Amino acid sequence: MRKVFDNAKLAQHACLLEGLCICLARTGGDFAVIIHSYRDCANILPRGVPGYSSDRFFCTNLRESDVMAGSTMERLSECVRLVAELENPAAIYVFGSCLSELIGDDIENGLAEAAEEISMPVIAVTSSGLDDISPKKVVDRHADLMYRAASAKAEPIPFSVNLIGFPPDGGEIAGILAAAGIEVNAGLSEKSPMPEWLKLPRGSLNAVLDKSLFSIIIEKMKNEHGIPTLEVPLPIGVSGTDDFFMGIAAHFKKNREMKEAIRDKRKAAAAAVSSRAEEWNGMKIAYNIGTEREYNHHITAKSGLCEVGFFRELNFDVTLLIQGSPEPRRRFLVSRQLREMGIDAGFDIFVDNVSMASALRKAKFNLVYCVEAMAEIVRPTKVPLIGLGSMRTGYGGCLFNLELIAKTLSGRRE
Amino acid sequence: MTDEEHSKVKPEDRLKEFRIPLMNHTRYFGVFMASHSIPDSILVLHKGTGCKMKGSTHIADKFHESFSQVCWTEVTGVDILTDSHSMIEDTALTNQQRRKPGVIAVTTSSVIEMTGFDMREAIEAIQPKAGCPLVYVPTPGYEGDAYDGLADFTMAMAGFVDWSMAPEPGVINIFGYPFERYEMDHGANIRELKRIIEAVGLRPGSWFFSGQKAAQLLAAHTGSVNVVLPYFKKYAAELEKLSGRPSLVQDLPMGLNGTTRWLENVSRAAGADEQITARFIRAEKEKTELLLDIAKRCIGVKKICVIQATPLAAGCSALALELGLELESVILLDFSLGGGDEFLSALARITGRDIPDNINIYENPSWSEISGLPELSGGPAIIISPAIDMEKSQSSLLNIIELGSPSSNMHMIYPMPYLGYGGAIALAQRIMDASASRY
Repeated sequence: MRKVFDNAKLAQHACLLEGLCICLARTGGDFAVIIHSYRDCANILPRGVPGYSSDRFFCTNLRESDVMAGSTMERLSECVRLVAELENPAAIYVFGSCLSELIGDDIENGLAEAAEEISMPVIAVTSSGLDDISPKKVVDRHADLMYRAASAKAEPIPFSVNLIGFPPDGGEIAGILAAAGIEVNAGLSEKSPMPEWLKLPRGSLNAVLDKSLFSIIIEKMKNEHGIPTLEVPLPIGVSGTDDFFMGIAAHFKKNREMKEAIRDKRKAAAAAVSSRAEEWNGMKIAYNIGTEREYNHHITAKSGLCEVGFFRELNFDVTLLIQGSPEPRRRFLVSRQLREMGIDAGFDIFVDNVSMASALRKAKFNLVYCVEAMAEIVRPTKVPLIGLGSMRTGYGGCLFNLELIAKTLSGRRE
Repeated sequence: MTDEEHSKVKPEDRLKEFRIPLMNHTRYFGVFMASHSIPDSILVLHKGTGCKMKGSTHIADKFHESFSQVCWTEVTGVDILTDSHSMIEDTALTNQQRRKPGVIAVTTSSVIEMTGFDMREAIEAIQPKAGCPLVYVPTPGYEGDAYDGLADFTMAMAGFVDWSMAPEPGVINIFGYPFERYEMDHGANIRELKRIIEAVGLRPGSWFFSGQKAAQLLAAHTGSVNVVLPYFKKYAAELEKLSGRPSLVQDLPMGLNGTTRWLENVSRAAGADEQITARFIRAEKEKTELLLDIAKRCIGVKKICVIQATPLAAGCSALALELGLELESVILLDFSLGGGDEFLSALARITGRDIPDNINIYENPSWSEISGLPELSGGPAIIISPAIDMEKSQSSLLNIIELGSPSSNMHMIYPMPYLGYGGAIALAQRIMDASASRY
């Protein structure tokens, strides 16, 4: 079974504890996180990332003697009480680990007493790294943790949309939506602080890139507040941006207003894309997925393939370079999965990051779109690299992206 | 501690037990760092998938990324119940065939060992097929620190050296250098030590670790003396017994006096010509003193705070005292290298003078415990520290010289040593620069 799962996946495995800690490290807000494990597990924290503050993170620092004595839950309860008493956060998240799972600590039920005593939300998650989980599921669980802290009662704002999982864009999207009479209630990316998540119940529509990325909160918002969810494409390139805006407009029956709202910005972007598409027709791009574990929403969505359409729009010949096992059985499963997703690009599979260079050399690529961390491996191949996630959204973003690609192709990139 | 004693501890102090210390790494990171420092090694992790992030995310190396040398089994609960022995064999042997490494480091997590899985037995079964040394190091997540892991790995690797072969006179090995990355801070340190030992007629042998390939490390039998730096001190006697060569335990060669003392001791132990050594040291001291005197006059900020692992803290502090700076606070970033007592002893040895008795020493605290120190709150002071959990808004107000492990903001493309005579000058330059940026 494991083998079949491995073969079918397009992304890397994730550890729920690690993933949630990374997500929470970059989420601003008044909460504390307790890792229930031995000391080394706190080293999954990406120390030094913007927004990370070690003061919000604690670890029960379990010792062998605690495990042998069966006193690990007492230690956790003490930690919860002390954090509540001395730090007084609005919520405490408690995460389990491989160790707590192995020794059978029931943290979800075991903390009920402590939670009652301190009258503060204590949200415990059984999060062991020994379970197979996808990065997508991590994002899903993180969103749920944020949503669980939101108030249950809220008056919805008519003609308002929650944009969940879209990268921040500097205001163009909100501006166009406003011009069409639609308000952005909450704009959520992986970097959004907790207060932004708490606005969710007031939106009258959720727009997401990938329903499976936020399946838990989508279901809860539907059941608790009757908020529907619409899947729209990433607003990247002209066609993607058109479909994004017109999809939301169609839901609110504001097609005419939206056409008007996008007209001017769209014109400049469409002309630029059309000109570049002619120039770059047939150029070969290697579009890499599965190399880095990502919890950025728009990169995790659709297995990292949200931007394929944009390169297609520019007439690039797109080949997917997928990291993982190159066994024939996997090729078959990957091919089937891509077909189901409506992606008809060719693909190649390379076994690990070291092998990416040889995969790039196989077909004379003009460009590679992959994580910046691969720069050292890509450099000897002399294929120009654009960092995964560096594309911008919207019509304004489109012009930026064209400039970035042009500079990269000509070796002028700074 | 009894329950009664425990209940008398103030809640603030009890919470400290759960805070994350500034240097939280356990043995695993030391093994990761050691494996990264051998360019033709691979590291096989028999761990859950999250564990791989405990290494690669903490090394910021712009010359040699760290994740390509790592391969992992990504063991799951189901695998543990079935057959995880074969996963290690598959991973180790497949990668051995593909990458032809000079050495394979193997480690696992405490959780897997707790299931009764005998890792040592698994490694012994694979070794005959591996084609290179399989260096297994247990890395319990409960205790120990990165320097324990580094030392454990080094000692395990020394076990693969054929010490029965004859040493070559004048060749010295070095044990216990934490070579974190292939940038020009470490590169320059290695080059500087090589320069000073060659100048007195000695030759460098195997340096654990220095970016040397496995074969060069495994040729350590050519060394006639094993110079042991503080990070490997706990194994000095064991190495002496194993190798049949003297272990010369030394502090880091830092500052003017510290470098001189180091070179004199190494030269003597390795049988270098005394006159050549004395002549070289005299010339180097003269040149270095002249430059440090200029630095003394130029450094406007007089207070200094050192945040480092104990040996490096002692070395940086020694140079600071030689530059006439006031050392008020020292924050030690390790659990295993002797703490405050060892820091003061090392500082006295390196400087050869009495140490002020008003230095505040903190042993691996969390950021919240020290964030209120005047030196770290914008009070004028030079801070010599690796990248630690400092609020960005706070760190931007401080005069920080990023040095030591982990270095994630400062990268080196030009040689900037901190060991040896050249290191004393280069570090004095960095202190001058940090001071000048303040005024």
